[in-house]
Amino acid sequence: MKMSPWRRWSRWRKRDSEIRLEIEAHLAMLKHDLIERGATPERAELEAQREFGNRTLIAEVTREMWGWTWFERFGRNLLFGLRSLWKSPGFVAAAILIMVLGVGANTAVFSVVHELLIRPLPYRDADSIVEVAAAYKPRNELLLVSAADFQDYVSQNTTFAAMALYGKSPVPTRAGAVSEYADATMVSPQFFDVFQLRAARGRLFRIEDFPSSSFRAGVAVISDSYWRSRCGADPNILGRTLHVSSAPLTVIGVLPGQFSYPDKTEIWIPMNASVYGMSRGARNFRAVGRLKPKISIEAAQAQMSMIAAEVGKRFPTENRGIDVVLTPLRDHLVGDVRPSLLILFGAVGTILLIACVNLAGIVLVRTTARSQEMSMRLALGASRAHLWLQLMAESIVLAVPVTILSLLTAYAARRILLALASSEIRELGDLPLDGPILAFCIGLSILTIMLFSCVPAWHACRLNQSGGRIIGSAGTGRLRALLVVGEIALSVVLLAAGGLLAKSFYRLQSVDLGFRPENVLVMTASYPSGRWEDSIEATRFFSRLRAEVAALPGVTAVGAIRSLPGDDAWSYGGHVVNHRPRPGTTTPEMTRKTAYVEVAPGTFQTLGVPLIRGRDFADSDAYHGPSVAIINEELARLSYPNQDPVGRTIFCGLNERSFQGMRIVGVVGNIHQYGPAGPALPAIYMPHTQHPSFTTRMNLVVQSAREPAALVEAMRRKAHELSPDVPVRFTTLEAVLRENTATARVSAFLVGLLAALALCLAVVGIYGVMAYLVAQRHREIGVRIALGAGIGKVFSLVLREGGRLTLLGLVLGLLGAGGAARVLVSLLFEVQPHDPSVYAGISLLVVVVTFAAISLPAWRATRVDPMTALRLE
Amino acid sequence: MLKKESYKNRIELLQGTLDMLILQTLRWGPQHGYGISQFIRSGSGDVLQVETGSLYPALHRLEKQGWVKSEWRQSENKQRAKYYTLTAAGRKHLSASEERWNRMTTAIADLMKYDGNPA
Repeated sequence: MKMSPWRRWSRWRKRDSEIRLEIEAHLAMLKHDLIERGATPERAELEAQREFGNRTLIAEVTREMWGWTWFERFGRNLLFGLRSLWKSPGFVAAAILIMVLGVGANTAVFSVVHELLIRPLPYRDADSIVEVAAAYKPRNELLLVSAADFQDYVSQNTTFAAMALYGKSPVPTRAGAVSEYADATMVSPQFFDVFQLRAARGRLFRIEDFPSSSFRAGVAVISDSYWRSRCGADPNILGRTLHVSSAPLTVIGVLPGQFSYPDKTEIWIPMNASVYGMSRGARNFRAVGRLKPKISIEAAQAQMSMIAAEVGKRFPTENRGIDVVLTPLRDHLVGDVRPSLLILFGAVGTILLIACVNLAGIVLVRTTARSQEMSMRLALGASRAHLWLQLMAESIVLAVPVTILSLLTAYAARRILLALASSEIRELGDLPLDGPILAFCIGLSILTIMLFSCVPAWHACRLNQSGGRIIGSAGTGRLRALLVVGEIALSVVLLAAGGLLAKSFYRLQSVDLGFRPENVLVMTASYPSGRWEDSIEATRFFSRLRAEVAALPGVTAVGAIRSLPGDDAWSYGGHVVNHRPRPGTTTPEMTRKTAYVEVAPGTFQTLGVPLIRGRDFADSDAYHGPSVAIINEELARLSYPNQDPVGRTIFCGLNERSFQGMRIVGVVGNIHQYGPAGPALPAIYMPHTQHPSFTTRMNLVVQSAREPAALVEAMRRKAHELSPDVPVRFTTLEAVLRENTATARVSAFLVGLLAALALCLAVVGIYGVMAYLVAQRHREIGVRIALGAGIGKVFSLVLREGGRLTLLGLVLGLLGAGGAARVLVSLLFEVQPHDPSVYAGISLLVVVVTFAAISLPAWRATRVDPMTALRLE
Repeated sequence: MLKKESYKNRIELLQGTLDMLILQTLRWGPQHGYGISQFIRSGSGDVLQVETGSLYPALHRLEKQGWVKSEWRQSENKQRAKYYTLTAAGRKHLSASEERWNRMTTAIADLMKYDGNPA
């Protein structure tokens, strides 16, 4: 008979009260009869009670006739468990705290790991989607893909079902009244085939939507979120016009659900990549492809490498050493986060292990204390199974608060984790309470609690029935000592990892970037453009804006730069000095990665980049003036060794004008274009006025004595006075750089924090063991003192015991750390995984801290009164 | 624990017989637990004493089997009590166990009288 537990429970309750009433009635009638036979009411009462027998017991056996008493028995165990835990609140609080810390931290990290590394990507058959990149083999350097190479890759391969080029940038877009930045991606024809998408509304691109010979497409597809947030979920969205970079585009489709590839794209625009130039060196696009069914990525990789090698032979000038690298989409998306995330997971896992060891330690103490109670219960006839059941019930009483508190802790821990992380991770938001996360948290809680209950239960089973004492309390002591050694070893491993990461982060922070990011306010703005004349107009707009902002009070320097230092959007390619290369020849410089960037006068001063030779750009370096360029020291060192580069001519592949040659007018200091972890690349700076571009986006950089925030409004007003249709965004250079070092900061901070936590737990552990030891050897110590052992002798006796455990733990930990450090290599910056100073430092720390923890019980040992101790003997 | 075990043993020992005696008692009409115990005691001339610890489990077992049914009623002394009534199934069970009982007592009696010589 199926019945809901609730109905069974209520029926059980009803039957229980009925039996009680029935017994009451019996007693009443019995008493009544006794009184009738002449007994006094008091006597009758007593007599009836006696004759009837044990009421509770009878009610219970009667109830048992109806079955389902396990419920009742279990409930009683539960109640008993609750009561016995209630009696030792300190123990319960400590146990819950330790479990919650361990389980909560693990749940938080698991939730992030799950979302980034485990949860299937929201694309159909996502395993066969790969990111396609070019690579320069001699330097193992990933590059973008050029349209010309891409054509060869597509036409010659037999392993891809679809392949597409794309390029993403924030573009000024007007859906309604105001112009804002939207993230738009230009895509080549097969882009949506790669993801096997269908439109949620309207249609996706057809081949006739792709412009044959112009930059401008006439249509666009938008994301679901853009449709909802910017277009007000307009049901008549199809056919509506969006102004993207001031060009009118007709919306022909809305994509389904969460699709926003690449990287939160809101608008997709068809592009004809060949219009951007068919030079093989113009590596400007990203590419993505879908493998044919049953084709492995290795097979595809082998074929693509072969194609690339062939292209390299045919076009040695641009393509020597150029390979193709295929990366599974997930690896591409997760990128450099994966190793740090896994290391973090390992670190919280270690914390859980230490927490469990600690827990086992304190449970052992309590169990030892409860062995009297357990023996008594065994002696009184409780079966071992009954003891197990009781201890299990105690654990179940704990399971509920532990799970709930762990989830709360995980919620908070995840917030901290995300607040520290880089922007992509921050987007993950709050803890999702879905199946896998809940299962993980509950599973982990149960696991730790099992340990919590199994230790005493196992212990209880070793009790012998006759005596209250446990057999072999020395064994328990040894077990606890071993646990502490393990704890110390594990925390040493974590401390080593934390130390290495912290040192690496410190190194990263102290890299001389070559510029000063302090107090630099950045305003990103785009001028509406569509025609070539607009691009030229845009350079005039930025020149005027720069002059206007320079006139604002408090502003000490203003410049403008296409790509910000620390940003990863720098364009780069090769360069040639002195004369234009003849076709078919190749020089080392051509394959060199040289950064190209357009700047306005004053930029170097604003960023604090020193001018070493020659002059900065000036307003006189105008569109119609002679082409000029400034190079950095690195480029001067490489291409003009022991020569003065000023006055020479340099050629590069930014655009047609740069390829015609530019006169070098100055040399500036090196900067780390990609942030501190990246190299200081050779760089060519060109005046933005001489290189108008369809991408009119520039970053105005402002150095001011005032708080940067105070300038924001004034600058926004100035920009809108000059052109109302300009979208602007503000940030600071420091914020850009912080984003750049986020991964290093998070790993150093979190692993360091976890290591500190581990050390605390280990210290508590060793303190507990030593205090226990001193208490146990109280008499022995008393005798020693009575026999004339000095304070120093007693102190060192305890210290030696503790020292042995510490050293053993330390040595084991250092060995473990040596092995574990190898997985850190990819995260370390200018720090060796076996950096001796880190290992020495943490060893010292562990020794000092544990010494402090041991001294307290050691000191207490010296205070043992020999008379009291002897009297106890 | 020990006590409970012993109650259980006694129930098992007496089970069939006690059930039969209870059902037999109820043949005279609905009765409550106290009444049943008094009836068995006085009806047997104080020879058979039914422990309450056996009586109530037995009553509830019989009720679960469907051999008796119960309802709450006012007794002659204005005491609310749970009255048990024999059901049709109970009546059938009673006659079956009565027959079995008679066969068994006859067999036992014969055996006790047996003097070694074949009849």
